[in-house]
Amino acid sequence: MSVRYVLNLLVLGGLLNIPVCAQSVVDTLHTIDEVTVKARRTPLQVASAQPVQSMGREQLEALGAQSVADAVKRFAGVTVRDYGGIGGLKTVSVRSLGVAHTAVSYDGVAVSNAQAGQIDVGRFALDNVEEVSLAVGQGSDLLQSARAYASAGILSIRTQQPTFAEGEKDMWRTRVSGGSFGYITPSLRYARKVASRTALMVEGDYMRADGIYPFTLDNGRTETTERRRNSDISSWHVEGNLYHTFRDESRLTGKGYFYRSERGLPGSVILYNPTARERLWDENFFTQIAYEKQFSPQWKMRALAKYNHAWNRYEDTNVKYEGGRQVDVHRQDEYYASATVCWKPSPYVALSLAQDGFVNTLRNNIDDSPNPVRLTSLTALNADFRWGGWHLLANLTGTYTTDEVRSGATPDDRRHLSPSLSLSWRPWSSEALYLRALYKNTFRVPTFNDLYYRRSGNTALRPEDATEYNVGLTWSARPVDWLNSLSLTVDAYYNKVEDKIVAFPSVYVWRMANYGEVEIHGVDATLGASFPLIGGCEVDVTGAYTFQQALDLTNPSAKNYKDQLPYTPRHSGNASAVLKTPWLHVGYNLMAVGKRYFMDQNIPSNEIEGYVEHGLTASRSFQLGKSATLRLQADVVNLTDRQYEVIKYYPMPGRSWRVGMILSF
Amino acid sequence: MKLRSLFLSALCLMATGAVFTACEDDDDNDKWNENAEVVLPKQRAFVLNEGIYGMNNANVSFYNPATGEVITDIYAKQNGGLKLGDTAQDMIGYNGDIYVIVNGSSYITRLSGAGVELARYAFTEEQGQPRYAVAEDGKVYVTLYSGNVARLDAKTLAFEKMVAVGNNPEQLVEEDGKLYVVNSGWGYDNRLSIIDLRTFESAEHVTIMTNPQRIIEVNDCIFIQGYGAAYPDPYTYPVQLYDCQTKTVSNIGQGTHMAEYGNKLYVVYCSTADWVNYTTTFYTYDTRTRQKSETSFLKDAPAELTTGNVYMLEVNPENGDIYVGITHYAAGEGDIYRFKADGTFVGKFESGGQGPNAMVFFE
Repeated sequence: MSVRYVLNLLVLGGLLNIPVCAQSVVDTLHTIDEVTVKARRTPLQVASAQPVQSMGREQLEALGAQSVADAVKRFAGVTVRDYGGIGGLKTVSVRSLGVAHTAVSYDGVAVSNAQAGQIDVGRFALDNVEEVSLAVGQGSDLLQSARAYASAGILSIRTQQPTFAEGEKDMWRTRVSGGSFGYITPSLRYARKVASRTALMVEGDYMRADGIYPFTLDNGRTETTERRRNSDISSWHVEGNLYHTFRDESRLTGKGYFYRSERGLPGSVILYNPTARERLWDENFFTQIAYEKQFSPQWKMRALAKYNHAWNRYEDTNVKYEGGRQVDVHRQDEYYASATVCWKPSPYVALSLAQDGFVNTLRNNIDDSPNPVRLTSLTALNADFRWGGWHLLANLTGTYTTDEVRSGATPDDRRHLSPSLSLSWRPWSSEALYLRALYKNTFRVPTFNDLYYRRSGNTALRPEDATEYNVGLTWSARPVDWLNSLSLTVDAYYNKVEDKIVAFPSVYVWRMANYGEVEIHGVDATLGASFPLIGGCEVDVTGAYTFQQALDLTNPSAKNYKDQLPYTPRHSGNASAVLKTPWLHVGYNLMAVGKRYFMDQNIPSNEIEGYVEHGLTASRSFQLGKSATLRLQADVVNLTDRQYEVIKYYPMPGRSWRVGMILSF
Repeated sequence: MKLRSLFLSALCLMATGAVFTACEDDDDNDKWNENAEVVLPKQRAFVLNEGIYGMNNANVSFYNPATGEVITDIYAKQNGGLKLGDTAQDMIGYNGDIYVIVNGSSYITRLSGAGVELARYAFTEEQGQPRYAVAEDGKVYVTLYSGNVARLDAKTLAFEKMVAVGNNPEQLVEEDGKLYVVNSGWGYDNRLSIIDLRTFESAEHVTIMTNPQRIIEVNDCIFIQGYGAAYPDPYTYPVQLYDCQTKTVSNIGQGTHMAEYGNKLYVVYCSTADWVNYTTTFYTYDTRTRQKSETSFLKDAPAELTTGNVYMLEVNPENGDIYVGITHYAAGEGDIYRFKADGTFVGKFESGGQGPNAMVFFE
């Protein structure tokens, strides 16, 4: 049991509220089988000093989540901007701080977009995801890279690793899923234990959808059924992973990843003009390697390196362009290295130092483009103290960036120190009840688009500053016999964004400017409970509620002064119930989002109605022979066929369905 | 009689705070109100709100110059709730009707003098999206982003033909049987296209400033305004006087919007150094004396107007009242400041939408 427990800790490494570098047990990869923890353990979201929410594979499947974006929508305090459809952009903003303040990590390494500052989380298929988690502030793993500390929040995507049974050398997994709007996605995964300490895994998937879905267009005396046009997508992705444990029990993991897609950009629905001819091609290649070693019970280190290449081609066809076509090609490269050492001189104290360095470049097909090159250095010093029921985490992150450009003005170098402090207190050791508090100050460097975008870029921009305060109460227990478990978290927060970078309209041109100021008050609450039923059945319920008041304090004489930010509901929440029986798992979920505004000014003509979306999922697994399993799943999304929009004039699909099967052997 | 009737109307309106119907009895010939849901008085003004790109929130507001009353989105109110569409670019009055060009939605519409839709023409993808319009002798001429000027029947809006001009043509004027069209080319054109309306066959081209945007005719003089440069060169916002005889231009100053009244050109120059704060200056150019006067044509402009982002300058041709439109873009609905012909400030009203960019007046 204890070995499994520790293994589980290692797997969850980045998220647990324990100075993980203290654990001297190594990951004996070749002996892991299914990691199951039978003992009731305080859930991470309860024990963590920073607000953390996570969803594991089982829960993602039980709720019929369709993508990483779909999973993130179920977290409290998160706004997902969903432009609709399978290929539509989906970005994540934590507690209204803005998309660029949320970092995204994929298997522990930051995914970046120095050009636009936003990551399309719709891109990541859930197919190979083991866990999706979201931390406000940062995770508490002292071995994490400095980059993990540099953002106001971090969304971590962790993929599945192969687990071989004794004597097993090969593992196959094949999956086919299909559904409405011409959606089909086959995938294949193969893992092999190539030596006693080495495993390899390769996988590939393909996805296509024509994306033509009907929607209702309401225009005064007319209400018509239209079809979303130019919303098709096709993409494929291949990935190879290497896992090796050396004789000194240090660990090496490597990954190579390639993604390519072509999609239509339907744009917003334009009344009376159905033309939509924008197309986008994307390519992304990255390779990353990470090495982790324990030198002694006190010392541990982790190092990683990554090369990332991203390319996209945007094309629009319209007679307004010279030659009838506009083609923009962008190419971004990133070279990234990071090293962290962790020292734990006593059971009460652990310290770590992380140093990251990366270079970002952007090139495009525009003649007078500045082709910026940016060098960033991040240094994070962290301390973790534990005493009795107290747990204190302190961090100081120093950022230095410098840009070089081929033409035009060069922005000043930027230096900034970002402190963070989090504290949790468990008053009674017999009770998993915690009080927690967090303070964090971060900043985001202007993106290449902010600084250099043709016509609107402004090289005089300063970084945007974000400050977060959080206090929370968490509790996990089994208070009554008819409950298997219960966990509750309530957090209240206050955030302030200053020098917010906004597109500012001038006489004829839009320019980026450090103009905005936003103040956010919010409450996030989550609930999870599990009820036993007769006959080995169980019901798991979850709920999340968010209240957010995100006010624009930019200009006291402006018409939107103290108005709620666009696309930020005051009230939103979700609930789910999963019935687990030996025969079938049935999951139901609902998401409710209150009224929002699609423009800055909070007047009735700028309102978007709230909505409630329901989903239903049923799945069953079959054991075929000794080692093969078959899993069947069927989902209905938007059960009540509710017509709604997340972004104005980007209608969301109505009721749709999906069926899928996974065969593993 | 007319004045008294108006005065009575106004009184009546103020007293009831309701509709005009009862007060309009004196106007025996109010054919503009045919089929109208909302009956409008004889003295009318309309404001075009551009809206925000992609938001389908362009609209037309009605403004009553006599009472100051504003009816927002009169187009929807007169047409069963229909929305005007996306990004309205231009609005003109002709023969008692209103013509609106909706650029994003790619059509031109003819509305009655009360805003009831009478005809519509949707431009094809090949023709391109429309920009600006001018009407003359029963025809409407429209600049199209395909690099053409189209001729439509003013009554039916039937498309007749189009003539190639420069790249991305913007505003146009008619003067002495000819169309003058400025071509911006989004920074890469610098030509004025001239089309003879008798033949409407082809255009001749004259080099003017780089990246021109606007053109206006005042007392047989043609003035042109634009960026004066292509990105990344700094914009200079010149205002040029075009000489039809010598086919040359001369700079008269800087400006961002132009209007005309009584043989004078009114110019607004709205500039910013930091892209956040604006300074706005106002001056005139007398076409008879060929003299520029730096004295503002506004006497007691409120302070916020001189720091605001001017988006529209219009003059009521009947009485010379000046209307200056301020935009707040997505941050709020526009404001319009009204002045008498002598520059005295009359009052301010909300335009009822984002980015007020044109007005038409009917007496």
